[in-house]
Amino acid sequence: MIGPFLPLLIGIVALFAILILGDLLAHPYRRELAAMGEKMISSRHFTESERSAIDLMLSASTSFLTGFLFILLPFFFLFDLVRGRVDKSQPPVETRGQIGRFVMLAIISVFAANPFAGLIWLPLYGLLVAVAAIGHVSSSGQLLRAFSRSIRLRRAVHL
Amino acid sequence: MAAREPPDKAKPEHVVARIVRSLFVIHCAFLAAAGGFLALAELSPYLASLKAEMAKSDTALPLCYLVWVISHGARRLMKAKVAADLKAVREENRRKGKRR
Repeated sequence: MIGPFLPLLIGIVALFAILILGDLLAHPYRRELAAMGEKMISSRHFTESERSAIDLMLSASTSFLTGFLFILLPFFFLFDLVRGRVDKSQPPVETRGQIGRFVMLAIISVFAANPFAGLIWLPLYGLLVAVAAIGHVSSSGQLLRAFSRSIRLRRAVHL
Repeated sequence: MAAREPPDKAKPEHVVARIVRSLFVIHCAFLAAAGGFLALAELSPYLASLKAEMAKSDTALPLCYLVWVISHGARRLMKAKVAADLKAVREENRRKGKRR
C-alpha cells in the first residue's frame, strides 16, 4: 500500500529532519547571538540605528520566512553601495569586532532556520563581502543595515 | 529607544491566534509543497510516474498529508522549545544589562 509512495514519504520526513537538525546544531550559536545581542543593545557604544537593527535581528533570526527574505539582502546591499549610501567611518575596534561576530552568528541562525533559501543567498553573500572589501566598506555594518531592511520589509507586509 | 516589551503571548487570545496561525501555515506549506511536487513532475519522468501512481491510489494524499502534519508539528514543537530557551537567555542578559 505504502510501497510506491515510500520515497515521497521519506522525502517529506527528510525535509523536516534537515530543518530540525539545523535548529539543533545552530542552538549554541543562537544562544550566543541572543546573549551578545542583548548586551549590545544595552551598551552605549552602539548607535540608535544599530541597536534597533540588532533588536530586529534577534526577534527574526530563527524564522523560516526570514531565510527567504535574505535572498533580497544582496540587492539591498548593492543598492546602498551603488547609491553611495555607505558609512566609511571607522567605528572603534571593539565595536567593529562585536558587530562582525553578531552578523556572523545571525547568518548562521538564519541559514539554519532555512537552509534551502540559504543555499541561494550564501554564495551571493561571499561575493558581497569581496565587493565591500574592494570598496573599503565595513561589510558587517552594511549587512546589519541590509538585515534590518529585509526584516522591516517583512513586518511591513505582515508576514 | 522605544520600549521593547514583547506582547504577552501567554494570554488566551494570543494562544488561540498562534494555534490558528500555525494550522494556517502548516496547510499553506502543504499546498505549496504539493504545488512544487506537481511542477517538478512535469520535468522529471520519475516524479511523473509517482504522480500517476498517486492519482490511482485513494490513500496516497491522506498519507502524505498525515506525515506532513506530524513532521511539521514536530518541528514546531522543537522550535517552541528553542524559542523559550532563547527568550530566557535574552531576559537574563537584559536584566544583567539593566543592572550594569
